Parts: sequence; C-alpha cells; structure tokens
Amino acid sequence: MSRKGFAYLCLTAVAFFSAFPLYYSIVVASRHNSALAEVPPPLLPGGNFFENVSRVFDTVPFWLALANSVIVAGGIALSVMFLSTLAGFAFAKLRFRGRNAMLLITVGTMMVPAQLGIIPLYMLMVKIEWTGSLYALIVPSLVNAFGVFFMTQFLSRALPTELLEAGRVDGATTWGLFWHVVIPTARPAAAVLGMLTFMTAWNDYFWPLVVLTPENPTVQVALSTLASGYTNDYVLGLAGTAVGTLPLVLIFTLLGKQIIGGIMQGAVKG
Amino acid sequence: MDLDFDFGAEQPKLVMLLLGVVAFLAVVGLIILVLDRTSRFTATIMLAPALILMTIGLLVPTIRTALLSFMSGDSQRFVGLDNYVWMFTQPEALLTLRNTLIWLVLTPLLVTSIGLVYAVLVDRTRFERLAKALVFLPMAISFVGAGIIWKFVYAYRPEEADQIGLLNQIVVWLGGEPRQWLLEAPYNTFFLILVLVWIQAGFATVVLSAAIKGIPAEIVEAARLDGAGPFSMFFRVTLPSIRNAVIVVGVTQAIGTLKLFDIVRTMTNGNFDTSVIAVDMYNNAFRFGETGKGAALAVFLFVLVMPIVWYQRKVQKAR
Repeated sequence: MSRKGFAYLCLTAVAFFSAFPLYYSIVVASRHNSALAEVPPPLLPGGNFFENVSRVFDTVPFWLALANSVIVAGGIALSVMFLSTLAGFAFAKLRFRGRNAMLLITVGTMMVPAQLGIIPLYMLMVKIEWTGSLYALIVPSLVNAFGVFFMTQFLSRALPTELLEAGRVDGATTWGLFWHVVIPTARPAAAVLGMLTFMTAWNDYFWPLVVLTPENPTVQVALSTLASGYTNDYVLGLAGTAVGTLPLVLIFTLLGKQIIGGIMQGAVKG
Repeated sequence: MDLDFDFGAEQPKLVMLLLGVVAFLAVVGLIILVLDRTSRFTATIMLAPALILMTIGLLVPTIRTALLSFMSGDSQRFVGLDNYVWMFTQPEALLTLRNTLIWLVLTPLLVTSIGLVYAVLVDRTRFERLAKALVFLPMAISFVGAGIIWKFVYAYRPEEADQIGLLNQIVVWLGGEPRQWLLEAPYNTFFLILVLVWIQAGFATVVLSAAIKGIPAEIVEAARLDGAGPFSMFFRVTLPSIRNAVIVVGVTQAIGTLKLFDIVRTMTNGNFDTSVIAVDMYNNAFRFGETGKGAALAVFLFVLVMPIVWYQRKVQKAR
C-alpha cells in the first residue's frame, strides 16, 4: 500500500472511532427502542427524539437538574473569575511580605486531588446540615488554586507595571486600579477561566453524587440515575445525555478555540 | 413533562443562595474599598477570600483525611496502620490496585501515541481542520455521558436474539460471536480504558499538532535535503523536537487517569473485577461505612499523584 493510502486509512479509522459512536447515539436517541434490534440497524435519525426527551423528563426531575446545574456551574464560574482575578492581581503586581511563600502554597494545592478532602468535607456538610442542598456544591468551589495560578500568570505578563504606577501617581487607590485597569486587562483570560470552570462544574460527578440526593440532582447525577435503571432503556439514557450535553456543545461551538488554548495552558490541572 | 419541579417553591431557596454569594462578594469588595491604606494590607485583603476558602475547602479536609485513615470504619477507634495493611494484603483491594496500575500504564500510552500518529498524519493535509474537529468532538461530552454512550456500544443480547449494541452488531456482521464486553475480566478493564482514550485522544491531537507546527521549517527542510524518509523524519526530527509536549500530554493523562471515577462508576460500578482506587474509595467511605479504608485509599491516591505532578511542573518550567 502506498504511504498516502496508509495515511488515509489511519485517518478514516480514527475519525470513525471518534465520531461514529456520537452520531449513532443521536440516531438511537431519536428512535424507538424496538428499532435498535432491526437488521440492518437504522443509520439515520428518526422522529422520536422529542418523545424520548419527554420520557426523560418523566423519569427523573430533569428540569430541576438542569436548573441546579446552571445555578451551580454559573455561580461557581462567576465567583472563580472574580476571586481569582483579585488574588491573581495581588500575587502578580503587589509587593508584600510572604508573597512567594503564599504563591508556592497555592501552586502546591493544585497537586492535591479533590478526592483527598472529600470524606471530611462530607462530614462537615452533614454537621452543618447542607447535605442535599446546592450550598454544599457551590461554597467549597467558590475559588480554586488553578484559577488563582492562571490569573497570576496572565496578569504578570499582560498588565504593564508602568500603567499601574501612572495610575497611582494620578491618585488612584488600589481598589480604583483594580476596577479600572486590572479588570479590563484581565477580561479575556477571565472569560476563558470562566468557561473552563463552568465546564468542569457542569461535568462534575463525584462530589454531587456524594452530597446530593436523586430527588434534587445535578444533570450528571440525573443522567447516572437514568443509566442505572435495571430496564436497560438505552434510548432513555442516550436522549438524556444529548439534552444534558447541549449547553456545553453550544459553548464549545462559540468559544472552542479559546477553550482549547485554556486547556493547553491548564494542562497541569489534569 | 416533569411536574415535580415547581419554580415557585424553589425560588426562595435560589434567591437566598444568590443573595448569599452576592453578599459575600460585596463584603469582600467593601472591605477593600474602605481599608485602602497600605499596599501590603490591601494585598492581604485581596488574597484573604481565596486563601481562606482554599484552607477550609481543601487544606483542612486533607489533613483530616490523613488522620481518618488511621481510624476505624466509624472513626471512633485508632487502628494504626490496619487500613493500609488491608489495602496491600486483601485480594479485593489488591485487585483495585492492579486495575489502577493497568489504567495508569495504558491510558497515557494509548492517548499519546494515537494523538501523535494522528497529528503527524493530518499535518498539512487539505482536511486538517475537519480531521482535528472530528477527533476533538468527544471532549464536549461529560464522563458520565460518555459512559452511557459506551454502555450502549458494548450492549449484549443472548446469541439467539438480535444484537443491539454497536460493537456486537459489527462483530456479528463480520461473522463473529457476540461477547459480553463489560463482564469478562480481565479484558473488560481494557474496554473501559478505551472509553477514556476515546474522550482524550482529541486533546492529545490538538496539543501535539500545535507543537509540530512549532518545529522550525529550516530543520525539517534540512532533514529532507539530507534524504530523510518519513520514518527517520518522525523518529529523528519530529519526536525529539516535540519531546516536552509529548511528556506533558502523557503526564496530564496519567494524573487524570489516577483520579478516574465517573466512567467506571457509570458503566460497571466497579463490579466484574473492574474497580479502581477512586471507585473503591467511594464505595468504602459512602456505601459500606468504612470511612477509615476510604480515607486510606484517598491518601494513597495522593501519594501516587504527587510525584507525577512534581515531574510535570519540572518539565513545564524547563520549557
């Protein structure tokens, strides 16, 4: 086989491996359960998608799950953007004692896998009776080491020290500088951070599974409830997955390039 | 449609939640505004929310987990190293460690090599953008969603029935016997690993493709003039030039793999000899009431992750 032929074969194989399961789940999600066993199997989407989706909403509290996920992921993203910019500015441009030690500790906590703290965190949530509520998801995630590190890196590069000094000479307070100079500069990086945080929070499963109940779930918890049914109703699970993924697909389509750039910078997060 | 969700009933809760977050941020802002004296003081105030939240949310629980790992299941009695002895001697725990090791070796290897070969092959072809977009698609799916999709791909029906799972349909169509992909140990772990590879191959492709584009054109041109064939080009020019990017991708995958929970939990729940550390930790701590064992597993996870992260930071700094 020619070299070119081999290359095309590999490309086709990988593209098939990546895209076909996705395409086929859409096909299945839009058909009736009985169509699955047809020989040959259906290869084009059918007309049952909305019927299947409404079955999803009948089986699990999916509206509630979507609302919860929007509140949790949105709230976390906004807070992480703000607090990380604040701390990032302090680390990048302000001089104070203990700066290097604190930055080192912050970077150090990025190494800690989230699972390490989850058992005591759960005990704490039980004690303050936050289990089952959205507080338990939002409050521990209001800020994270990655965000602080990400904004510190960006602001130490993108924010000219001369600009800050000029502002000070003109009599601006540090808060004034933060509001009028730092935030406008930080906006592109903060947007990427916000999107990454939103995606991570939207897709998070371990902690919501631990601390929430199936009656008040996030999207991922609701999906896992759908999939764990004994009936093996594949159509139901796949239709739910399609709806639960839609918000992220929209974000990806709009901001794919920036997100990839952010993921590459944040490769440390794993 | 679902009638359980009553926006009216939920509203006070949500408004309160929102108010809480806003109030918190407002207080932080106000303190900064009022107390703008010295730069050092301002810096402290600016850092305070981040540092306090990280301390409460991560540092303190981490230390408590370490302590709990020396306690009994109900956290009442000190048991010394019993939980760690359990982890390294009991067959079911050893199986979990073995599976985690298989994941740790295979995932970075497969993801990085598929990404590398694919990135080299699509480089400077007419359909490069499309090819990269296709392989990147699965990144948008949550791990839970991917688990649901692949549970369907691997679905099995008894031989006399018509197969509905994608893989078994293909196997039968090619004249083979349908198999229970997720039930037969030890191969089922491999089929679970394939799901993570499916999600992550796009990430590897995009990162490595960017690195390949960064190789100076003169080097490639010189090698070509010296008569380098495609293979010596790959091993003598491309690979050494992007060595760091390859390491970063592999290491990132290794860290993510160690923490993996969602895929195994959704697809097999750790049954049929497929459990990994994070799943075992969840089951012990939150289902079996064995807090001590769960904590010990979490600590061990940290011990495994730490040197890898350390190495990664070193490589990234050298770049």
